[in-house]
Order: sequence, then C-alpha cells, then structure tokens
Amino acid sequence: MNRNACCTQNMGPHGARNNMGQARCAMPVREPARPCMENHMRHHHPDMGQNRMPAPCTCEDDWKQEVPVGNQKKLLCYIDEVSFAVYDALLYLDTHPNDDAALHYFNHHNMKRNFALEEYAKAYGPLNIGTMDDDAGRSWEWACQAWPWEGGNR
Amino acid sequence: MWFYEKRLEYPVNITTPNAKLAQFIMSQYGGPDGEINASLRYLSQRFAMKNRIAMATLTDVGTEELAHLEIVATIVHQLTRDLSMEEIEKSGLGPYYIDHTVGVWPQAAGGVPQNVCEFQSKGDPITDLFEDLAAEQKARSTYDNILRVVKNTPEVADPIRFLRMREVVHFQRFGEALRAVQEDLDAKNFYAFNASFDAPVVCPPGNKQ
Repeated sequence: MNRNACCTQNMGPHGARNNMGQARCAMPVREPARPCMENHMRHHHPDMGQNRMPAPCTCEDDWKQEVPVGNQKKLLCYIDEVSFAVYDALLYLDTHPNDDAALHYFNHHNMKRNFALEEYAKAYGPLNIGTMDDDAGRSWEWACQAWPWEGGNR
Repeated sequence: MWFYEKRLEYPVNITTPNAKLAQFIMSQYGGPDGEINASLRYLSQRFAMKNRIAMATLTDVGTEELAHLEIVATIVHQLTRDLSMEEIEKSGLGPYYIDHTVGVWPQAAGGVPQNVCEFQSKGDPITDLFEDLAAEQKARSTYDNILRVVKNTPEVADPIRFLRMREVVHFQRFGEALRAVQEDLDAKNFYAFNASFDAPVVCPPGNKQ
C-alpha cells in the first residue's frame, strides 16, 4: 500500500495539524486547490514536482512514534488530524488522479489513520465498524460507549 | 463522521428502461415515505435520545437508509437511461423530463417535491420511536404497492424485495429500541411526559450520562 511511507518521517510530530494550520488550505476560495496542495507537498515532500520516486528508506516504523497511544483524548485528536489530511487529499486526488506526490501523501496518511484507529479500538472501543473486534465476554461497545454528540470522550 | 463505500448494499442491474416504473419507484427516493426522509428522520432524532441503544439504532438505521436511497436512485437511473423521446412522452415522464431531463431528483410519484414536513423530530424518545415504527410500516406498504406493479419485471422486483425486507427488520429493531427506552422508565407511567426533557434517563443502567 505504501510505496514510500517511511520517507516522510521528517514531517514532524503532527503532520496533519501542520496541514490544518495553514489557513490557505482551509479556504480554497482564496487559494486555488492545486497551489494549496502543492504547498502541503513541498512542505512535507522534498520530491514534489520531480518525476522520480523518493529514495528507498530504512526507517519503516519511525512514524509510529508520533501516535499518542495511551492517551485517549490525544489519540482521538490525532485521528481527527490525520483523517482530515486523508480526506483533503482524497478530494484533491479526485480531480488530480495522476499526481504521484499526492498519491504518496494520501497513502502515508491513510496508513497512519488506519494504525491509529486500530490502536484506539484496542484501548478504548471502536470508532468504526472496520476496527470492531469485541472479544467474547465484552459488551457491544459500539452501542454502549459515548456517542460523539454527548461530548464524553473529548 | 462518514466515509463512502463504493458499492451498493444490494446489486442493481436493470437492462430494459421503463419510464413508467421509474416514475412510481422514485417515490421511495423523495416521496413522503422515501429513503431520504427516513435517513434524515433517524439521523436528526438520535440527538435527543438519552438511551445509547436507541442512539446506536438510529445512527445505524439512518446510515443504512443512505445506502437505500442510493439503491432507489440507481433503479430510477437505470430505468430512465437510454429512453427514446417517444417513450418519454408516451409514458407520462414528459413533465419530469422538462425540468430534470433524466437526472435523479427527489420527488413523490405524484410529482410533489421531497418535503421534510413528512417527518418529525420531536425531541421526545417515545414519541419519535413510535413515529419510526410507523415510518417503517409506511415504507413497507409503499414497497408492497410497487411490487404489485413490478412483479413481472424480475430485475426491478428483486432489489425492491430486498428493500422491503429491510423495512421489516428496521421495524423489529425500533421496537426493541423502544422497549429499551421504556425499561428505563416507570412502567406505570411511560407516556405522560418527555423522557429526555422532563426526566432524563441513561442506559445501560450505571453508565455515565
């Protein structure tokens, strides 16, 4: 799935937050989508705009260090951030399906999202049906845990 | 938060267009007991529930209704693509065609636009769940009416039967959710007040509100 995921390990502890923090990305009306996305890419991916793939890397799981396992609020916040990066890239790719750098960006963040969702489900209960794994003897946590509008897990 | 899954909940493969059937079936897209109103009803009502079993049921049924409106829209689309102008005029689809060509637009079989006044969100769990039970039965009746018309068209009747079956299952689940809400209340006095507004309860018992 991730051709070069580990090569983006230098994007910092909160890659998605960096993206969200860029006002121009939240306001596509003021900035056309492509320059905005290119800015994401240039910031995180030195290879953006070049017709070659990033060099092979040796740092496969380093990005996992940034995932705040063990703290429910921080982990949910991390999932919010990385999920936003995934969805923003998804929209961009819908209109730019051959953009290698964007594809790379999407794959890397989607991997982080899936990992974080699995970790959250193991520790605190599932956020989606894809990560449900209720062991025998436990209740159906999907229904019994707080729903997002209750404000309980923030 | 939702993510789209790129498949129909039940497959639809209609090979022969039929403008008349499309006009009938589009009622389950945007008609009074259609899938759009069903989904909006449940996804709106869930916020006033104080019982997590009811919250879960409304969220998950409301989500499945989104899959159902996609199935109904697919049926309408496949019944109206490749129609000739002659078929459009002869079938009575003409007025719809003038405003929408053969795009999918939410209206009832009689041409009335989709209208949220067809459902309520009362902020009262018992009131809302009784409405939901009625809604599932009304949708089932509508699918029964459609099935009498399409019974000789298997490629249309097949997905309609699936949708009808789900109405029955949803009725069962809402009945169970209603029971769960009632179990939090005084059995001698279920209906005298709004359980969310006047006497908030939580479920399962012991959970933090």
